[in-house]
Amino acid sequence: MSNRAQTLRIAGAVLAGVMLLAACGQKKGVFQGGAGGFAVGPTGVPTGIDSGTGTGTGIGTGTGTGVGTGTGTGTGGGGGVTAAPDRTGITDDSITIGLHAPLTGAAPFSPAAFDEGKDLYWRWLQETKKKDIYGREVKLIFKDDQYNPSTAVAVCNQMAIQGQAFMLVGGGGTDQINSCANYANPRGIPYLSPGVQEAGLKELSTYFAVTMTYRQQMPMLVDMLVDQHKRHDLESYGAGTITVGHVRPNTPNFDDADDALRAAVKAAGWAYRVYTVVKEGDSQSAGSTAQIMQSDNVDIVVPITAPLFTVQLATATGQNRYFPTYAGVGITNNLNQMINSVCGKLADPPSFEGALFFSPWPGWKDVMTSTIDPDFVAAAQKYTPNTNTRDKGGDILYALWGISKAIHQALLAAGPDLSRQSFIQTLSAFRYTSGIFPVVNYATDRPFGAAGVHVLEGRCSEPGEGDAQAGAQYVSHPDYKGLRQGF
Amino acid sequence: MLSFIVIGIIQGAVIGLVALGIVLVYKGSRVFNFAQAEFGSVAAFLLYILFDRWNVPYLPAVVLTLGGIALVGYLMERLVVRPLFDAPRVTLLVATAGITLMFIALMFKVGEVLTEGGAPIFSMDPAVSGDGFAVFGRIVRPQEILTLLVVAGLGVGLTYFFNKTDLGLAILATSQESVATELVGISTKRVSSLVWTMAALLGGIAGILQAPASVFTPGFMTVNFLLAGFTAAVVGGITSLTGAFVGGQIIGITSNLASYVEFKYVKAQFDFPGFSSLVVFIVLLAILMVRPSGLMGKEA
Repeated sequence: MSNRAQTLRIAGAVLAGVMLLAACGQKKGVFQGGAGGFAVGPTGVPTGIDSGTGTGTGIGTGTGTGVGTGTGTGTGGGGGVTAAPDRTGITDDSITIGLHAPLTGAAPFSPAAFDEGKDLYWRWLQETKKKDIYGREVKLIFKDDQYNPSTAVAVCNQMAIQGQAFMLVGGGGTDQINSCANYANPRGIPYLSPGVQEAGLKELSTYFAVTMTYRQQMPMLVDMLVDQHKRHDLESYGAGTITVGHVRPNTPNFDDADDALRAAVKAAGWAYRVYTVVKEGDSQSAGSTAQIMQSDNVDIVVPITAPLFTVQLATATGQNRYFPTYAGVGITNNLNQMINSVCGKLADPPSFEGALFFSPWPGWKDVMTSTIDPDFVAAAQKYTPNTNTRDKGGDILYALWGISKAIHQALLAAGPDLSRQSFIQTLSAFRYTSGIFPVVNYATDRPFGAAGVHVLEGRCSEPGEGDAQAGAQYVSHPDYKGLRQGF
Repeated sequence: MLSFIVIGIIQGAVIGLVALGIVLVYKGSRVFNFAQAEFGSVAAFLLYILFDRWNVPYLPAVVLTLGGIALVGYLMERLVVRPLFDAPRVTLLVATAGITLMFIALMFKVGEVLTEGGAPIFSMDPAVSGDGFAVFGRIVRPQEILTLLVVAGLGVGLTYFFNKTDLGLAILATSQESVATELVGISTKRVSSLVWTMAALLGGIAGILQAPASVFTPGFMTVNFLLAGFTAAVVGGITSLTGAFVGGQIIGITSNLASYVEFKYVKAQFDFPGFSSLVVFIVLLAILMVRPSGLMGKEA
């Protein structure tokens, strides 16, 4: 073969590689389409799947009269119900719930904490409190979504079809939650998760966020940073105009968070930069992002990336003796396992010292040393002896506990005649407060009903106290104790 | 901008080491070894266990680690490569990819034990500690200086080995004409074992040099360096050992300069994530258009 022909062949292969790479930033399976409908009719009973408008065929509720013969005829029912109540996953004595979360991939949670914690609340409820939900106990099935949207859809399908899950719950990971929620919606499957994005989810009638979304939290975050600046005249913010750097993945699911943060930062009179990451989990990419942020004089870094990338980024900034303030929203970046990784050997002082993160739950130490949820403390000590510690995923236990507690209240509110439709109808007008997780107050057009966050501060050498262990961890910020709805 | 060149040189050294292993195996067996970078992850985990968990002093821990990873390379050749020696090359390629996945799964399991079920994210003390010094705004740490020195030393050593020693010449001869090499009494199978052992050793060195640079997880070397290593090997000429080092530097510097341009100028005009990767492949394409066999490659 001539050199020219060989070159052309290689060029073709490389171009194919380039085209492949161009698609690499977009995770496979990330959902960008619109939502299918699952309408709730005027009577509050779902009236059709997908079309969003179904018409009634009527299910009779007649009363028999044929005394002695055992026969009778019913009179026509009230109408308005097109689909029979979907009771998939519900038996006389059980309700099956499917939970997915990343145990591998770029957001590896503690597998042991997830394994022990996934049904902690339900075990405590059923075995210790001897309570059920109208005669039914909850059975939980769990699948690792590998921090991959395509895998998330696959495992949600498995749990819904093979596992016969009544409802699905996402534990973390924006793209995975988005994909699974969009899988669940046209099938009429209730789907709950911590709050992530809004775009692509707000149109879904079976989706409900149990904590605040990124878009909701961003203005609050900037308000708090401004407040911190006023209170403490933070030196780390630097002189002159304060610059906020938003580090985000290359998927459209973070666009609404980006827009909200940009608007809030500009309203505060600060400068805004955004750094889009194509390869989360790549330490080289973290290194170059850190370097460019340093040359841009970024004072406050707001990462909404996979926790591993956030850790790599913090390591890279610290190693270059560049110490911006880390602050943010989200679900997983504020876990103690993440700060444990950053407060290690790689930078002194550690980059996450004083990091400010919003969280749906209080700091682990605050949970274990206070009376805010004694049931959890008792349950964790009884059922999760290997993981109820600061560095083994205790806060993951608490997060799972909080979601389960909200689901429990919603299931009780839905009543004994439970179906997917009745559960969604209940959630559509559901208000719940645990005193720890944010208050949720849903409406038909408001699936993001949570209000309030806890403010956590990263400390690399927090002393122990009571049942709480010493060491790197997030604690409730002394300026903002308890749930906050404003600053 | 100069700070990005500094980062590129340091990253390029590790990319070059990975590329070197790829070239070595390609020369020895005509196989693209997808497990090359993962030798580094395995070595990093071995060193972490020995040094950090079992408190073995650093130097003996490094020696044991390198011995261990060399054994892994040898066993891989005996148990996987040799039985498939006469199979189509694509079969061997898939086999090496399978081994990579097996290594990663194994490390997840080991990580689970090490962290008692915690998140498998680890960090390791550098071989040489110290504050380092600023070069164009980028702090160069002693560990990174060590990386550059080791890579330079390996370059000199391997050049001598392949040009001046009988064993090195035997490897080169086998890669060029295996039948004739057998006829003069050189065992190509033993040469193959040697090549895979050396490749694992090079991958292991890359891993233990890179691990203290950031946190590390199962598969971190494959995620961070495999694609770059292959690109560097092709740029340098897939058969040239010197080319692997040169390719590593070209890829390291180009990708970091492109990142700088992307963040500084491109993003200001329009959103173009992945710009730096695109630039790297355009450079690769340009080099191959001018020199189809790579910068230093020969048909050998």
